[in-house]
Amino acid sequence: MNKTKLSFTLILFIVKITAQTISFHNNIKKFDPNDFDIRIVELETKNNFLIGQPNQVVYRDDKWFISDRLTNQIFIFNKDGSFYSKINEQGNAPGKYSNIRYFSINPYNSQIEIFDNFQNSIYIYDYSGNFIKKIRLSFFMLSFEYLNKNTIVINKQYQKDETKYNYNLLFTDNKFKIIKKFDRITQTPSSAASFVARLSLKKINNKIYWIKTYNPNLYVIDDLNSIKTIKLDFGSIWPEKSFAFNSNLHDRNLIFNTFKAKYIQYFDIFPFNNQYMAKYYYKDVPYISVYDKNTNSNITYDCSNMPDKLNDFIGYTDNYVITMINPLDLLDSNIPLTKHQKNLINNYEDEPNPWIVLLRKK
Amino acid sequence: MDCFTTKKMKKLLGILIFIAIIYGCYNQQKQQYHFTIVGSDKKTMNFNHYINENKIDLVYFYDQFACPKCFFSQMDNLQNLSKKNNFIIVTNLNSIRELKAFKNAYKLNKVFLSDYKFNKGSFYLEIKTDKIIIPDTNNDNLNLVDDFTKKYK
Repeated sequence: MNKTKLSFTLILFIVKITAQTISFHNNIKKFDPNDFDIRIVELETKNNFLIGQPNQVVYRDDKWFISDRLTNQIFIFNKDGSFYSKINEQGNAPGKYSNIRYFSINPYNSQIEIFDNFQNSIYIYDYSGNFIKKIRLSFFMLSFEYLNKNTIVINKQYQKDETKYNYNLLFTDNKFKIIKKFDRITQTPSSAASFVARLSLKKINNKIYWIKTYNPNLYVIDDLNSIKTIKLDFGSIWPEKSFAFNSNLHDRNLIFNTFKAKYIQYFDIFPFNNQYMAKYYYKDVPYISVYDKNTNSNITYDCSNMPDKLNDFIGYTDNYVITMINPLDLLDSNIPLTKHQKNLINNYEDEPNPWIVLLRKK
Repeated sequence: MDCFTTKKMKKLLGILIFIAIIYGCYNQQKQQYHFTIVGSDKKTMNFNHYINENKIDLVYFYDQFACPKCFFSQMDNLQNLSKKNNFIIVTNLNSIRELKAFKNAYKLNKVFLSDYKFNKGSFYLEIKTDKIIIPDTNNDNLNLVDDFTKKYK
């Protein structure tokens, strides 16, 4: 092996670690909508684009992309909420997917890339719903995001049936061929379903962020050779390692007595420019905890007075978390609505499409 | 001879009509409602017992997260059942909007939304959209099923 190749390989596997700690779950108060910047997008409703159970929202190219786990479609709405198109290609013919597990928008060619976990393949469509191509994968995954034009980060995490690529993260080229593996899996929780963040891999402000299940670190991936960690301090409510990897204890506490467990659950974190916004449940109470980078301080909101779906974050922009909620539930809540929005809600004859709500701490 | 034949024929015809009436009544009694219960949770399985007891003859277990082959054969079956005027009752949906989205996406008709209730030790199924309750153990609820089938068949 020549020196150049050796040094390149060495550089490739160097992981730069810088530790920074941020603390959450302090200064707890009731959720107050006046403390938050809340924006609402009223989606158009018609029978041929009725959304069933939205489970992922992406905002890109002035459009809202919404996947529906009930009907296995992706709906595309314009910035103002008017309908644009949809991808409704579920089937077993060529060019048709079986199930949408996750989707991402390729920022370099504006194409929708759907990960089908039944076929273990990526299906690529344009914004009008025309099929472009299918890429068969050699590994299982949960989700993926583009690090740059030529590199994709693959979030694998505890894929039980796989032994070949037994790593938590993979880096591939833009054709999904593996170029680097990161963080070998040594211990596997028996069932981490209630703890895996829905959006454990994110791309916010051109950086990739990754949360590893039961690990109190936020990984920041700037490029292929630089992975930093930010330590998240939740004190005693973060699951202990003995709890996380003890299957009997885990099953007993989480499956039979889910919300009484003494550790936080359904944790997710959204790192924005000036703040880290975390959401989680603790003893059946939903919380939003915000760490302000400028003041190095934390405030935590007990959200039990919030409409249910409003703390179920299913997407993000560079500055806001995204949730979707039935507008009729908004009418009964303490979320401030404009006169126009109230009129719209009062004039609906049937339950309309859920509205998109964007949220960030002021 | 002619007279005899006519008399015999009339008698025979009478017997045949009588048999037809008895057979018709028997069939009426035996008639089963074609309900398809669709859900992705274990509660749907619990219904099997109650539905069989109450002459509702078809229970269908559907899980959208099953294997792809199962999924498509199940969807084909559902669409066929829907065309044949079976009633499909979906148990894992939360609102009328979700029900409409499901019907539109999979091109199904006669689909109804339902919920579970637990009453005095027995499950029963409430079809939310039309306030019909099936199948409880008392006859009143079977009459409701009758009304329901008349309304939508």
